This record gives sequence, structure tokens and C-alpha cells, in this order.
Amino acid sequence: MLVLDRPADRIAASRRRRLPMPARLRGRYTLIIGCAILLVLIVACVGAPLLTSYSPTAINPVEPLAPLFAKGHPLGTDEFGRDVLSRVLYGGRYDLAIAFGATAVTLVCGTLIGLLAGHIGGRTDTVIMRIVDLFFAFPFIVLVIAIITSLGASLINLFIALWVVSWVSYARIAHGQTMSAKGYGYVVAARALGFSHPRVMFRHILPSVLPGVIIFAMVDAVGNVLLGASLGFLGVGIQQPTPEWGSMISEGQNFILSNWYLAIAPGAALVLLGVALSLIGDGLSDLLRGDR
Amino acid sequence: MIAGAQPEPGFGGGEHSPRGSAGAQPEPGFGGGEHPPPNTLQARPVVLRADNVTVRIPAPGGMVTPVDGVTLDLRQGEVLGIVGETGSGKTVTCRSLLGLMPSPRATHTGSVSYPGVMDGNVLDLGIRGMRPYWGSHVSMVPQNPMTSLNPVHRIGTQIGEAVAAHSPMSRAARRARVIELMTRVGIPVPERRMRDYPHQFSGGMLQRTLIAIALAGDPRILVADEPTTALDVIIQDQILSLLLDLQRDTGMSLVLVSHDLSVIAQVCDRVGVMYGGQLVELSATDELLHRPRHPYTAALLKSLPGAVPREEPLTTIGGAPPQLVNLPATCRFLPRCPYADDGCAQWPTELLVAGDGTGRVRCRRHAVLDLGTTAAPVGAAAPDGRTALIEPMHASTGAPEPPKPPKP
Amino acid sequence: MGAWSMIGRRLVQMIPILFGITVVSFVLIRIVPGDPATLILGNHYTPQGAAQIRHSLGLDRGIVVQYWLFLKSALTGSFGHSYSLNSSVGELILRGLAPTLYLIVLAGIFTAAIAVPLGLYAGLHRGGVLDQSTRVFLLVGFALPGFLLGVLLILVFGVKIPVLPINGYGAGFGGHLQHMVLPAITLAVPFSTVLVRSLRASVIETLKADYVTTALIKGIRWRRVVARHILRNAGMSVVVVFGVNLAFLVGGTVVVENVFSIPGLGSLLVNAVSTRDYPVVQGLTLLFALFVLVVNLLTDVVHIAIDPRLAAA
Repeated sequence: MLVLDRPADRIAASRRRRLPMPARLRGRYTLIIGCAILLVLIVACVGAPLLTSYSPTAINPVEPLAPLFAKGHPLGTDEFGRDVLSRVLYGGRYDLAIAFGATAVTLVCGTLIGLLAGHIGGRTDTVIMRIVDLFFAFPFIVLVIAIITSLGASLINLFIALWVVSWVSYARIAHGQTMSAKGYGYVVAARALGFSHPRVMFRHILPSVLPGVIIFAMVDAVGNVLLGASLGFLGVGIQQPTPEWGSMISEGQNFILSNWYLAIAPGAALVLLGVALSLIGDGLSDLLRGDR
Repeated sequence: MIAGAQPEPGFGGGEHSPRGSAGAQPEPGFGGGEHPPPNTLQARPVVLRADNVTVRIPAPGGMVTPVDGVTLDLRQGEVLGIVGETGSGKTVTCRSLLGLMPSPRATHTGSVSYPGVMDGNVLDLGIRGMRPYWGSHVSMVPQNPMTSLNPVHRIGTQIGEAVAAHSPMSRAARRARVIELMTRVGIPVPERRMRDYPHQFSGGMLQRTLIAIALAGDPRILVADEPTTALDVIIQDQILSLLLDLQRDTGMSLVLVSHDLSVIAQVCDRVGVMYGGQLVELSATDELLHRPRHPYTAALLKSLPGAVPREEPLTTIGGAPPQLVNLPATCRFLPRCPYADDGCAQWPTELLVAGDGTGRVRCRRHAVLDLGTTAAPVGAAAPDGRTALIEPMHASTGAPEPPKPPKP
Repeated sequence: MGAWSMIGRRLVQMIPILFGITVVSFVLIRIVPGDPATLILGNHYTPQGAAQIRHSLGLDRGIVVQYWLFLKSALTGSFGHSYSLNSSVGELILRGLAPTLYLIVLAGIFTAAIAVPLGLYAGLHRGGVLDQSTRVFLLVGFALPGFLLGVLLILVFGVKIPVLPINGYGAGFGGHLQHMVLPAITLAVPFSTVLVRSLRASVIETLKADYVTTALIKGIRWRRVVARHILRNAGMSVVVVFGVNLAFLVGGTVVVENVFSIPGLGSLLVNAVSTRDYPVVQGLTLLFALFVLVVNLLTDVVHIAIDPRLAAA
């Protein structure tokens, strides 16, 4: 029975206002815009050598702190005369790597762990979910910093820290979805028919788990990018002279009064990446879950 | 527009209504003599008038029309029943009587007014405009009592809110009135139970609470939208009796919506039958039961246990009710109608005056069809001494009237 | 009463988590590859110095003894000894605690001040102009890293319109407050996007609830319907979201304190990382987790207090 017998919206139709677009349509637009921005960013960062002839780390003492639109340096140069544009483009490779590399691994592992825990149930489930709870007690950034302190600051250690810490969110979401999916008629039926565990888990439960974790993955990717950049900013992440947006903002901060673009250029790139990922997440959410 | 004190005959906006007779006069032939003096109903002032109300909602598959051209009026002290299947537009219709729309996307045409109190269009008022009338002129008892009270506030607080909505009063006075209302609707130990939260109440008690809330502002009209559907069978009867007792005591008008014709038949003065978003028939209860004029009504009656002699099988209506998406302009019942002829496919439906002028029917062939006599006499259907399911409130002889000659 | 036993149960549930937190904090700094003493000393390596550091870290004892010593130091509040700052970690924490707490509380207040009106209005007027603008705010606010916003705020308020202090902690209550305004805003903006989103969705859901129709039909004022039946009920789920995401806010202080040079726990942590001051990192990790745990408990208490159904369950 359609929406009609649903609890009525009490607002009489006379209240003229602009009505929201239907979720599916809005979702499609949002998704397209998000993907377009992301694609442009990926192409620009991966194809950096084609777009700029400067090395991101080549020091040029002759031309320090060149202004915006200086000849040959559309975004100027930093205190060591390094071309800001090429640093932003090359630096983006690390941030993109964090967005995809850290997120993809935790998405798969966390979802599998949550799915398994929920499906097996019993003591295994309790133990795994208590461990998840335990991780949630720590602010993620503190945990990541602590791990990096022990392992030492490097890109691979940053990845390890992110992997160790952020699978728990996926596990929690997947677990919750699995628990409710276990009550659905078709899952009960599949179990009653004696299907194998993997078949029940992947063919019957997983489809209802996926939308939630995939949408969260987009949010999480933004979080991972920001976390990576924050660590770079704090000098705990990727080390100099490798360009990375967070650490570039940190360096640029010292010149915020005279050469603001040193901090704002990588900052804008960072925001753009975050917005693109958020748009994709919103679009997927609208498409997969409907109006909310 | 229309002065409330002047009794109005017929139905607002119905072009085909004969406006000849003065409303104050008893209508000849209205249910014969066995009905309570006919002028009591016909002479009473109209308190609510719906004129050609249509509600549309845009949906992915097209335009949904849950209410299509509903025209009716409600007289003071009247009990008006509305029956129909799930999805026939009952809920949306009765919510529109309070100016409520089913969705922010919904659009409407037509009007609802409260003659003498509010002559403008209720549907155009919006929340701010409706506030003075909600609770004090028109109230509603909802379909699902379990979800209709706020889980975080105490029962007493929620009733008190309704009490104080239109008349500010001291805490003590409010409390006294809340207790009075709770006693009135039959909630035991109100002093203690008013401190309870909704989750501590049973379904029946919650519905009693909601009735108390609806009555708090002494409304003249109460719209009860399937008030017993969500309740246990035993409780259903209690709640229905309570509503009718209160209606009798206060003299308010009651719109009782149900998908159960047997319930409606027992208690209502008039009955409206809805099908596919349209009002297909509206007439006095006896009239409707003994001489249905719309093929759908007739089919509905024949499918009722108790209305058909026990040895005969109950008939079902072939086909399925229409989806409310992108409906054609022709008769909604056409695909299932056994009486349809070639002309029906071309007929743009409208509500026609039937019989003596008080009934309304949406069938072009109603005058030539003979549907009523095929139904068993209602009220005499239970020879084994069981109470018949259909037992008109005003006992009738059970003898159907002879069909009226076709209108000239 | 139901509510008290409920809270009691939560307290009992906390015990294993509490134990787990100490274990994690303890283990974290013992996963150092190689010899920590060598890493700490770097170029200043001498066998004597290394031995001294190993002893000070307790690395020359058995692992269980080490854990026991760590627990004991945590219970006495000393959390071990910081060799880079040559002071007890407990004392360092005590010094940094006040600025961080100021920051968190003020940021929490700002978050509510941003999130409640925005989320409520956007939810009530879905599709309206402000709702559309809110979408943009949510999008950008969430993607905006705290440090970048901080840098921008410094640029605007510290330099162009110099009305607010842009670094340090100030003196006296008023001074602290003044110094915390910009950092708190920096922290509140990204955090509030999470809450606006959840409040908006929650308001939209609540609007459809039958009890809102009931309240409306009573003929009470719209404002009252909003305050007592929409915001009140939608707020319950937001309190839970607040609790779940609080760690995010607490973690944010680490970055923001560094942007605004606030001598709080976050600055202490980052400095300790660069000097590889393991006891400090260990103590702070434990403390941050404890803090989150306590606030989660408070959130639970609030939730139980505002939802009568929970106390009954």
C-alpha cells in the first residue's frame, strides 16, 4: 500500500515550498559530479609528469617564494624555490593512495570479520565485538600516532596503522547488518535448506550488508585522507622532502601572511578530494537507500 | 459563502442535486416511518462540508490519486460511516477533512469547510491557520494507538497539553480536567496512571487516552480513522461503544472509518462507500443495506457473512481493486462490474442523486439496475439466534422498499 | 530504580573494556622493531645510556612484571617517567589537562550551537533554501581538515580582523576562554557536520511519526510541537551519535592544539612522538581512552534520563 497509509506528513499542501528532488534522481546527479571531480583529480595526479616539467623536490635557490602566476610557476614556488603546482600534483598521489589503499583493505577485512562474527555467533562473536568496542574507546588519531611512534614514521607504517585501527568500523556495521539479516525469511530459509555456510554468508547475507559498508567506506575514505594529511601536518606522517598535502599546508602556514597560496593550494586540493568522496558517498546512499 | 445556521439540503457543489425542497422539511420517503423523525437529521446544521476534494501525489510510476472528487457533508450529531477496502482512500479522505495531506508533495483541488465556523477552504490553511480549529472544532482518533502517543512524555502530560491548548488554566485545574477526561474514557485509577508512560499502557488503554486527547477541546466533529483496526477483537467492541457513548452524550458529529461494513452498519446514520479513491455511494444506512444502488456496494453486501443466508455461499468480487496510479477518467469499477454496458466506457463519472434525493451514487445505470432486492433481508440473517453481524442501529422491518421508478 | 540498575550494568560492562585499554596502551609501545633505546638515543648512543634507558622503561624485566609496573604507575597517577622532559608523566598530563578540557567543553558547546538550529531547521524545511545551503556546509565542513580551517581562521581573525588571540592559552578564566574561541570553532565545524546530518535525518523521520500528528491535532502551538515532540525525540538519537563520535572530537584536539600552539595534551603527544618519549605516549593513549569511556558513560546516563523506555527495559 504505497505511502498513503503511512503516518501522514502534517504539513498541508498550501505551504508552498520547493520540494526535494526524488532521491534516485538526486543520487544519480550527486554520484556523477563526485565521480567526475575524483576522476579529474586522479588523472591530474597520476599524469603529473605530463602537466608539469618541474620535479616536486628540485630545489631552486634562485627563485624562492615566487608569487602566483609567476612565469613558469602558475602557483608560485615555496621557500626553497620548488614549484608548488608540481608539488600539489605529485603530493596528491600519496593522499589518493591513502584514500584508496587504506580504505579498500579495511573495507574488505572489516566486513569479512563482522560478517563472520555475526554469522558464527556465540563466544567468537562476543570476543570479536568486545575487541571492536575496545578499539572504539581510543580516538583513532591517538591510536594511529601511538602505533607510528612505535613503528617509526613512513608511508608503509602509516598504512599499517590505518589498517590496524579502522577495520573496526566496518566490522561493527557489517555485524549489525548480519544480525538483522539473520532474521530475514530468505536467510532463515537458506539455512533451513542446509546450504553451506559460505553460500549463506555470501549469497544471502552479504547483499544486505554491502550497501551500508560501501556508503560508510566513502565517509571513511574522507576520514583516512584527513587523518593522513593531519599526520603530515603534525610532522608525524610522510617525511620531508616528499610532498604531501598535509605537510605542505604545515610548511605554508609560516608564510600565510605573505604567500597564502602555499597553504591554500594544497588545502583546496584536499577539500576537493574530500568533497568528491563525500558526494560519491551521498549519491550511493541516495541510490541504495532511497529518500532519507 | 454559506451561513451555518441555515440548514442545507443535499450536497455542496453537486450540480445534479435538486435544490427545490427546503432542508427543514421532512423528506418524503426517507427511510419510511421507522427511522427516527427524519427532520432530526436533515434539519440539523451542516458542520463540515467537503466539496469535490481531490488529492494527488506524484510518484515514480505516475500520479497517484488517493482521493478523487469526494463530496459529502456532515450534520451536527450525525454518525457518518465510511467503508472501503484497504487502499480505497479512506484514510487520506478523512485526514483531508482536518486539512492534513498525506505527503509534502501532495496537491489538492476542491475544498473542505466548516460552515458557520470557517467558510474558507480548510485545505488552504496550513498549520498556522488550522490551529484554532484543531482540537476545538475538529479532532481525530488515529488508526494506530501504539505509535500515536509520544513515548517520552507521561500520559497525563500529553492529555494536559490538549486540555490547555485552547484554554489556558492553572496547573490544578488542568490536572482535574485530565483526571475527569481519563475517568470519562474509562481509564481506571487516573491519578496513578496519568504518571505512566505510553509503553506501560495496553493498546486499548492507549486508544482510550487518544480519545481523551481528542475530546479535551470539546470538538464538534470527531474523525475516527479505523479506530479499532489495530486492537484485539475484544477491545474493539469496547472502544467502539465508548466512541458511540461519547458521541451520544456530547452530541458531536462522528465520522467513523472502517473497512468492516458490519461494524459501520450497526452504528451509523449514513454510510459512504469508497472505491478506488472515489465515493461511489452515500446514503442512509438502511437504504444502503436494503437497496444498494452501486454494483460495488451490492457486491460488497453479498460478500458479507451474515448478510447472506447460511446455506448460500458467499460471493466474492472478481478481479482486483484498481491501483491508484494514473487512473482513467471512467468508472473505476468498470473492469469488475457485471452490469456494465457499452455506454459505461464513455461515461465520465460523477456523483448522481439517487432515489428520494438524499442518496448519492456514482453509477450511470443506478436507476435501471435492480440490485437491492437480490440481497437477503439484513437483520434477519441469523436464524440460529446468533446476533447478526449486520444489525442496523434503528431496527427496521427488514422489508426492502420497492425500487423507485427511473428518474425522468 | 530501573534507571540506576541500568547505569550500574553499564559500569560493570566497562570493566573488561578498562582492562583492555590498559593492555592495548601497554602493548602499543612494545611493538617497536629493534631496540627502543638505540632509536631514542640515535647519534648519542652509548652502551651505558642505552642500558639506563632500558632500565627506566622497564625493558630489562619480564613482560608480566612490566605490565604490572605500568598498571601500578597508572593507578598512582604517575604513568612513569618522561626522560625527554625529565618529569613524571602524571605531572605533565596534569599541566596539559586543563587547556584540553577547556577546548573540548567549549567545542562541545559550539557544536551544539551550530548543529541543533541547523539540523532542526534543515529537517523541518527539507528542500528549502537553507536546507540546500546546509548540504553544501555539510559537504565542505566534513571535507575541511581541522588544521586548514584553523589556518584560515588565524588568517582572518588573527591578521585581517585582529579581534581574537590566535595562539597560546592566555591567563585567567577570561583569558583562557578568549584564547579557546578560535580553536573551539575549528574543532566544532567538522564535528557539527556529523551531528547536523544525523539530526536532520532524525527530524525528517520524526516528522512522519504518528505522535507528531497527534500533537498537532491537539491544536497546540507549532513551536511547542517542534520543541516537545520533534526536537525532543529526534534529539535522543543524536545524543547517541554524539557519544559514538566523541572520540573524533577528542582526537581533533591533537591537531588543533598544534595549530594554535595550545599547551594541552595534544601538543604533549605530538612532541613526545618526535622525541620518542614512549612513557608519555603510553600514558596519554590510556588517558584519552579513559576520557572517551567516561564521556560515553555520561552519554548513556543522559540517554537513559531522556528516554523512559530504556529505564524500563
